[in-house]
Amino acid sequence: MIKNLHQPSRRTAIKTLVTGTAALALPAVWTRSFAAESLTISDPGGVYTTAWLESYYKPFTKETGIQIVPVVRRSNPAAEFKAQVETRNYNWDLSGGVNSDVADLLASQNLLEKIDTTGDDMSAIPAEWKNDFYLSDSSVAFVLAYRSDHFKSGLNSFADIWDVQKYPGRRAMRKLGRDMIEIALRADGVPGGPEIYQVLSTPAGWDRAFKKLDQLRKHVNVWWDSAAQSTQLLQNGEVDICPTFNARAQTAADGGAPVALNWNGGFYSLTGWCIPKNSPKADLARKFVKFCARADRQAAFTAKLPNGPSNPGAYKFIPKEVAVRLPTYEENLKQTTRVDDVFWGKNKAMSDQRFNEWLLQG
Amino acid sequence: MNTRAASESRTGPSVLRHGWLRHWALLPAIIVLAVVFVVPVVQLLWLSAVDGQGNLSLAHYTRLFETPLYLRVLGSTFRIAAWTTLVCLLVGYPVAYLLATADMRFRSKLLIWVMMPFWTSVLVRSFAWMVILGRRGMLNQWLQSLGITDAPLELMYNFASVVVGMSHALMPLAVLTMLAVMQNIDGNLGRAAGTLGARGAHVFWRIYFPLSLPGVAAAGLLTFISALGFFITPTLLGSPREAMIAQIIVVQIDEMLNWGFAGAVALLLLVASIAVFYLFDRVLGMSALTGEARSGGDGKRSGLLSRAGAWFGRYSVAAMGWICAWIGAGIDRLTGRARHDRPRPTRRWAIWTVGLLAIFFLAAPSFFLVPISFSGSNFFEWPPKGFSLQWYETYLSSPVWQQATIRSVLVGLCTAVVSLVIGVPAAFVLARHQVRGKSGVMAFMLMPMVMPHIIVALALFYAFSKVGLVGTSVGLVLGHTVFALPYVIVTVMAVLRNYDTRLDQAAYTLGADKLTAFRRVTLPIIKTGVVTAFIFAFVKSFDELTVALFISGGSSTTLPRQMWADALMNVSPTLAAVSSVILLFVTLVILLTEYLNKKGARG
Repeated sequence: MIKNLHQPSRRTAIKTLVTGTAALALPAVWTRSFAAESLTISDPGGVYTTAWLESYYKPFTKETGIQIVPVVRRSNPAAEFKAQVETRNYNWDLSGGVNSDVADLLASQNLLEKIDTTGDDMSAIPAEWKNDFYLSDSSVAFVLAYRSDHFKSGLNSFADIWDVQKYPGRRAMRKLGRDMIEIALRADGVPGGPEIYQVLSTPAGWDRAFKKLDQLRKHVNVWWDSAAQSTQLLQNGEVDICPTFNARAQTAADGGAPVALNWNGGFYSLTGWCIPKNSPKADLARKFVKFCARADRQAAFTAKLPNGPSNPGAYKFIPKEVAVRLPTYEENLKQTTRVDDVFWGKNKAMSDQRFNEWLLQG
Repeated sequence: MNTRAASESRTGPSVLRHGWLRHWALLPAIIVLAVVFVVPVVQLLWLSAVDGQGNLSLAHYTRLFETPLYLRVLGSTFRIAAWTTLVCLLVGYPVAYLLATADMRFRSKLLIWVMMPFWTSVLVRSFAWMVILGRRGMLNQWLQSLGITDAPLELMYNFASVVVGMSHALMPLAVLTMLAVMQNIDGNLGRAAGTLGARGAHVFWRIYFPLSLPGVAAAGLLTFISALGFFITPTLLGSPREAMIAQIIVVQIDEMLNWGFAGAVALLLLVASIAVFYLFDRVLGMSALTGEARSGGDGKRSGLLSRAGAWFGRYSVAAMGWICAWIGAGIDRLTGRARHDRPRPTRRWAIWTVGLLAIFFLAAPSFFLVPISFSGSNFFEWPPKGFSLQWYETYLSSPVWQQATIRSVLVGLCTAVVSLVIGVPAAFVLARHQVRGKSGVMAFMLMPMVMPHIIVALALFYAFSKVGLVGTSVGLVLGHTVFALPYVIVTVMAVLRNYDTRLDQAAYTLGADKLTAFRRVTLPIIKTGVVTAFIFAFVKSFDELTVALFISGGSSTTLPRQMWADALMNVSPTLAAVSSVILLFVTLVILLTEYLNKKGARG
């Protein structure tokens, strides 16, 4: 009984002490948290981290005093977005290098926070490269790549992949329905862009694509899945033809391998920044996204990463020899078309299933 | 399994008297699995039974069986797993036998080589195989320069290369599991048979082989079920025909955000695996794993399959004994040697050849990483171009890499300790006692092995975020323990199969209490099994990527995570350097332990 009587008073004493200390410490805590304001940014890792460290992260800290903590995420962050938003447990505050189709999917499921699209830098970005939830700061192109030691005079278009007489050699193709259908229809004479989706609006168009793929099937030696694998295949000469992302083929070429790229008929997709819904640091994150729209910043990352900057002004800062390798360089942009995210968003499940079944029949 | 549970309670009177309380030692394992695995995963899999509005719906399952695609992929998954298991057992058995019968000094040296694949991440290993088997790879270069072949052979992107890559990854698991059992086989039994006039072949096939079977069964089960969940190796080394079901699950989760359908596919895999486990139980009997006596009254309840299995096993072993004995006798007659002249360890050269070849197969890919790690080029290529220390510099001078390594080692050690503390008591109960529904309990314990990591990672993220465990090392250790636990339980159970409990009783008679008897008698005898289990648990955690990505949260990274990030554009020799440093470190630790042991023994 005596114990019971004493306990409340002890508890009260502790309470008073804690509150008092907290009150006294509050200014210190508050200033410290202000000084240590930070953003945790998830990126695909590797060269993305090193390129963005110089072009975005460090300059942003220098200008705003906000510390950046880069972390690695899965190559496709969709599941991480969903899990974080649904549990309201945020490992990171925003993510870069997100493909536009993923961003559309996430936005459609109400998993994204709105970004701030005002300001001069943002206005400089073409309209189809941004929306309320997404800012694309760069693009990646899927192009024809081949070993120049094997094909001295080079390949001219995707159709040449089908011409095994004229271009004998080993072929590697991507294990992804969307890209293979885009390539097959181009090889079958459909011009890139809206015409592709016109053809695919009927079942006969799909049959046409798969019929074209049927002709190629037995000539494909490797079906690759991870993009790093495509670099390796080209680099060590495991295959002679391997359509892949421009940056991946470029990595092999920069490493000294005889690898050449042909932009003709290629197609590009966008990558960019989005913020998970209800992120506690959404305001800071919006500030950062806006920063990524700046021409000089976008120009800086191209030194390490040959993705195409979305702000046309960036080319003012980029040396010519780097510019010619980028998907948004005028010469390259003219030869390529954009992948229709809306169309593929609607048809992805169907195309994946059909393509995977087709693969298994081989 | 219900009928079996019921019949077990009939045969086990102790169970009736004491019930589940008697098996309290099972509880930690069951509770941990229930809380950290079953409840979260069931919540996630539940999505497969509802539609977007949360109403019950079978839509995902209709889709699953609408086309033959998913069943075909399931079929190919099982085919690959079965071949991998077969290779691991056939090649792994002689290796384990060699290790078990070699003398102590050799054994630990050989063990270092056998365990090589463990210390290299699955990603790096697959790329090493590309360097070896590729069209312009090392093997083709040699074959051509030696004039054996004119054109490069197609060694990759087919069924064989997938089985080679997966066997390479899983064989250490099979060898160590079998070794743990073989080391407890009493060599005197063989000598006794020899005294009674049995030839070497008979001694092996009729005495040693049956005694080693629990190890083979456990190794087979572990290998098969582990193989079912693979997908990085088949993706990188195989063609589309070698598709595995885990790949489909990952695509549904990552690209489609269709977790309901992913859950349906995962459930299909789980049900199919439980069916295999059930078949294993029926044909071989859990006795193969648990050491439960199946003789006497047991005969009545065992089904047709089980009796056929036992009959087939008995006769094939006897037949092998006779066939080998005849061949041996034939050779003796040809060479004119009388049978009793022959030195007792029969024809050791044959076993050494097979064993060393297998060990070469296991260690070779790790060895190619060493020269590549000194390469001057940015890629994995053979022969490496130039010489540079830049990759070691990148690794050793980077605080990120160092922190990742230290963290992975610590998490791995904690995981191993926790899973041993939980798993060993459970293994004791399962191996020693009649437990009601033992098969069910075993199936329950093995479930985490088949569940793709992405499912567990997501499920744990939801569960842990409610209790604030996301982003903590505790959460990561718990997550990894779920994967490590089945390996610990199966390995320790397999060792206990041949353990003579009368040794404990003798200790009790001499006045030892339970703890002393365990510490002084049981533990020293089952030491190999416990150490093996510890290594398995450590390795499981050390190479785990997906749970680490979700659970370890923001700033703190692990080694596989760091490696994955580094391999984004291309797999650089940094990864070879990291692997080489780890290889060196592990080898030093093993040699040091051995040295200290020897010193301790001498002192």
